[in-house]
Amino acid sequence: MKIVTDSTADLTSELYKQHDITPVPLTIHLGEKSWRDFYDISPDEFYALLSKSNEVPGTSQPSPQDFVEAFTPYAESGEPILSIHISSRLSGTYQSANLARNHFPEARIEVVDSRQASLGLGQIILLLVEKIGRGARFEEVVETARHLADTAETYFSVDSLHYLQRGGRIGKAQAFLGTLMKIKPLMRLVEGEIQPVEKIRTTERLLNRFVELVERQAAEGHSIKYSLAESDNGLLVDGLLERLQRIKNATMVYRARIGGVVASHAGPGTLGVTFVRDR
Amino acid sequence: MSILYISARRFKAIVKAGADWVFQNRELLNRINVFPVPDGDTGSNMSMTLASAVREMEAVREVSLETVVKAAAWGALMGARGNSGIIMAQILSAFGEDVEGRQRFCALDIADALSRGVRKAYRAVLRPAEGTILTVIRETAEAFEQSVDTIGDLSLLTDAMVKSARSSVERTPLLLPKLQEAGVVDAGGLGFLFFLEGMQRLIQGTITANGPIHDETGFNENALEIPAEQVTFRYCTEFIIKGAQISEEALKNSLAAMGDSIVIVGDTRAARIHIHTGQPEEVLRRAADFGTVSSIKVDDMLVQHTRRLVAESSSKAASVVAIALGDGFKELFYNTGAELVLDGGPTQNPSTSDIIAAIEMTISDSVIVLPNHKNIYPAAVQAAERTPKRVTVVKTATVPEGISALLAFVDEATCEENVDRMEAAITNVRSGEVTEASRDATLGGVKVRRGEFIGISDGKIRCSRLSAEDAVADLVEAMVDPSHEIVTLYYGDSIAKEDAGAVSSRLQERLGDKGIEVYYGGQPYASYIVSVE
Repeated sequence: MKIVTDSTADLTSELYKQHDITPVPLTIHLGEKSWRDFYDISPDEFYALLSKSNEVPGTSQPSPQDFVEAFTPYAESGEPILSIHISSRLSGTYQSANLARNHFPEARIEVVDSRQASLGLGQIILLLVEKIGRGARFEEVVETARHLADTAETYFSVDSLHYLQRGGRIGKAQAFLGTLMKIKPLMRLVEGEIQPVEKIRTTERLLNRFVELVERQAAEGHSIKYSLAESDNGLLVDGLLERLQRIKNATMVYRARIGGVVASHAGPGTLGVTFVRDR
Repeated sequence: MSILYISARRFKAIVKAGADWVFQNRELLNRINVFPVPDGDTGSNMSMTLASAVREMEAVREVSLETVVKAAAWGALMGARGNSGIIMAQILSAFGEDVEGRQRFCALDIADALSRGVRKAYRAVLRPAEGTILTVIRETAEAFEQSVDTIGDLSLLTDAMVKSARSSVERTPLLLPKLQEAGVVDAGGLGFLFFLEGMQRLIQGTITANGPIHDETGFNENALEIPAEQVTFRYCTEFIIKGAQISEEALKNSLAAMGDSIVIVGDTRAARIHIHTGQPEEVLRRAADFGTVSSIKVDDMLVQHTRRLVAESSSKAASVVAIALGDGFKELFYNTGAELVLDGGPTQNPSTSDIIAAIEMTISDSVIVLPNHKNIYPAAVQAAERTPKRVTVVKTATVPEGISALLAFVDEATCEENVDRMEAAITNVRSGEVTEASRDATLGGVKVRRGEFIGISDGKIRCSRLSAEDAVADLVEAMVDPSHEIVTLYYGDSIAKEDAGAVSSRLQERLGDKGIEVYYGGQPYASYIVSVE
């Protein structure tokens, strides 16, 4: 079976190649210029551009045609396709993939709204790959994908709410705007939407909170799979990862760098942890 | 079909139909609510008021017109919210005034009740403004009175009322420039029209094809900005006083200076009060002189307003009451999520009853109190024991501890979880303050001259300097250790912003890796309050 996703999964090219996953790119716009996310610009290159630019970056979803092209070879050869994407509340990518599916009435194509983005989506894909590796059938993989989309939790913090606000993705975390105290806003993706969680004053406490969140999940007797991601915040993740690795019953899946599209909306200095219970 | 009288059953049915139609249109009313304050709740307020009237009516049997009408009047009065709700309640209660022993209202009785209602409504509002629901009600009552000479059929009279209310609503922007600016008609007036229309729909048994009165394309979003001058009266405060002999005049006089949009309704044994004020605590204190205060509701209209734009509707498990002194601190506490900030007073010694009043004013049944001063803690604990609400006092001994505790509060968590989180948060905070010495002394081995600035933390004098800025810089250096991440300076009302900024830059140079934040506390007694955490 074939997995198609989009570039907001923020996996590395090695992982995409290794598991034969096609990330259909979204497009990033900054000033006059545009790039295909992941293919034309690396996270580091984008962070560097962002720090030098006064412009607000924008993004656009892939067209249905882009998905038609991605689906065609597999649809024609009769291979079932799982097409899993960034939360439909945050991007129209899922919708484009759905429209594309209608071009192949005969093919087995399942389009899934991951209700996640970046690390959340990437981790779901890697867990699916694992399942496929254990010999799961297509229906089982699709069912697992939907289950993970319902249960994965992603917590994240941004350096400045400015990017989320300007990009129109701030959701209910709007409640954090106008806070007089300088805070590190802790948010989460719930049902595909951004919600405020907590106002935290210092980086140290923010990291403690991330550790606590994973610990609490793991302490309930379940084994936990987690992943981390950052944009231009690598040192912090080093320290956080070290602490998370000491938690019993918690296994790291991967560590990501947030790609251009998600970084356009979250900004540099973003830090996120996603976790899901192992079934 | 002609209708010549209103029986108990009919009264109940038409009030319900009117209430229902207001309810169905409440979102529209909320959206166009710009006067007196664009707090976007006229529709909700009117429909809640009417719902309360309907509930009371439902609770009584239709034995007599008197029972039903009085139930509606009482329900509306006790459930009244907002200016428009209170005015609606006046109309209903006017019907309850001349109903003893009656089984029916005919057209002439209704004309009398309406004109009594208009007088009561104008009396209830301290500064009646034209171009509002008052105008619409008055003009409608006048039109009814004229028609009643020639028409006895209440079905036709209802049509006449709707027609006149409609043209009256359409004229409201001409009378009230704020409405004109916003491109809307008066929300309360329109609510009254909806009430009449609801009755008309029931009577006619059809939905009339009335065109839209309110064109939303002309709606000016900017009108929703709350003007700065209204920020002084940002708390929409409502409560009920029950007493033996409440004098409306005396009550009005006592509250008049406290704010605007004052509405007082009721009788000598129970009164409902609505006021926009900057000091809800003081209003309640004054009200308590007239009887027992209950059903208190205080809304921060600024916050309400923001919330409405965000369309956030999260309910919380607990309300937070903070005690603080200084306008900057009050603002910080409100901004950080306190539902009510009680003024600690110059001696930092609010009475137990002040704290009880504040606790009872909050929305939730579970309340967390942040005393923010060690001297206030005992009073807070006493207050906690004397209210039926579940109250937890978190032992914040300083204002910075209070702020850290409040930042740890999460809406989604239970009250107990929040208390744990808040208690954990304050263990990280170390606080100090800089004050001016009022006399020469040797304190803890430190020689202090009158007029010098001393830095104190953990009850010990850490330094003494000629300027507040030097003192605060030294104090911070004495307090920090390598584990601290943030130094926060809250400057008092005697300190210039520039001086606070300058000392913060100085500290930044000396303390390199730590974050230095400066906020205006506005406290009168200490030049600086500082925390390291």
